Amino acid sequence: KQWYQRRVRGRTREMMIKVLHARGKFTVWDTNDILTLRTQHRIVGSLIGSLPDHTQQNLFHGVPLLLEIEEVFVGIQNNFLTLEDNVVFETPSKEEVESYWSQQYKEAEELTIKERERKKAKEKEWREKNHQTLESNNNSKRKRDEQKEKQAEDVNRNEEKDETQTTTSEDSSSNSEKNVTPISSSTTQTVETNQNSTQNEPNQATPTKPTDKTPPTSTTNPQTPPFDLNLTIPSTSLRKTLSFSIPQLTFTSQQILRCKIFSDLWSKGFYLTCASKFGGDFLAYPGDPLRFHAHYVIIVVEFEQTITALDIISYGRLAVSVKKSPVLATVDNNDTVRYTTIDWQGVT
Amino acid sequence: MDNSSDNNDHKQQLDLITKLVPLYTLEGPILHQVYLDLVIVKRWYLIQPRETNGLCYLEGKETASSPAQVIFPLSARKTIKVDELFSLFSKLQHKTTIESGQNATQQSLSFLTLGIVDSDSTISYYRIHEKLVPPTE
Repeated sequence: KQWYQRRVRGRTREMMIKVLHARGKFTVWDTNDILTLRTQHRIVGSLIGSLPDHTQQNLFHGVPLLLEIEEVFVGIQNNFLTLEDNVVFETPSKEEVESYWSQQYKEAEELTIKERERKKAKEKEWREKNHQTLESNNNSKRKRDEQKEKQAEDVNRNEEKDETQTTTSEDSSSNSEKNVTPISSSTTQTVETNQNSTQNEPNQATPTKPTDKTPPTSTTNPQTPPFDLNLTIPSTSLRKTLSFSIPQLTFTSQQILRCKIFSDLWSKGFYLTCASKFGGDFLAYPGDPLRFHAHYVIIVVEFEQTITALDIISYGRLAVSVKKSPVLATVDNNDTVRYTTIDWQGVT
Repeated sequence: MDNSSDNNDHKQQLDLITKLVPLYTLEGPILHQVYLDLVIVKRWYLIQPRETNGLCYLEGKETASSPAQVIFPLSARKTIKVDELFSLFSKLQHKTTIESGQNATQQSLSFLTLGIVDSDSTISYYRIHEKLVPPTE
């Protein structure tokens, strides 16, 4: 507890936003933290969770927020993020499991009732809308049925006269009588049977309530956490080769370059997101991405990397066609971040 | 300027370029092509070939009132290192002079224009700045 409360540059560890590090991914699960990250620290990330009632839609996602390694780097360097590494979740108690399943059962029941009521209301609305059409259909069908009834009665009278043919004809006539019912009563019967069937459906949406079972896990052993978070910590010799001060993470040279450029752009006040759809590394926004278009497509290049003039043309044309400035960003031998903006001037 | 003095100026510049071509076997012909494009097609006010630090380039003004610019010809297939691209600014810095019958003035280089020439004689002009420049609306 004392370690958690240790002050880091005026901010306690409890005040820092916790980022869960698992399987090479960095996620934030608290909605307040996500809001703080975006509004106060200009860290946008990507929401990757599906909404509980709309699992198929992909326009707006829910928690967790997935962070890129550059965003985590900036957060740790500026002391507003703390990394939770090798997290092991505690196994819930029996009471917690029971409470969880009863809550699930209750919610599923409520959803079923809600859905049933919604269907009824929809059906009623449809009936009211199509009342006239239905009535005329019912009338015509009733007339046809009445005609059939009369025909059947005539047949019966004829058959009664001839006793030798009564056995087969009576059977057929009785069957036809049974089958002839007015449409209005039959439709109400079908509606009622439908209702009865939904009422009698034994809780299709509800999960089976276990008695002494723990929540399902990926492993057979109920004591192990739901997913494996054991990560190998890099060796100290490898850490020493890198100038970065985050011991839990290892960086490739390309990642180091990206982190430095990201950090520099972030310190200039930009909001930064991924730019893969525009053929770049980052998109730099002057404000929140929901309110502004990006100004720059940042393409990260190494200082000694070779490019062709055609590359310059392709960067320029693509970005200009989407009304953004393409920028080649690099870090020179003096560890200074340098930018060159490409601006299309025309073709002959 | 009347037409005869224009023609004389152009002849002088072309003579200069002709002298540069054997010295810069790759960039020389491209320099010539870009020069002709700027003079004849785009009708720039003033164009002069220059060389410095092993680089040949053009220096000119689009109109009489516009600022002087550096146009660096480049083949579309040429490979260039990123550090060389950045070093263009430092190599051409303090070398921008425009002599137009007035005192030559040295101007610092905030941007330069690349004239990228393809094998079918298409020339694409791209201005590069040594800083972040937001897009124009």
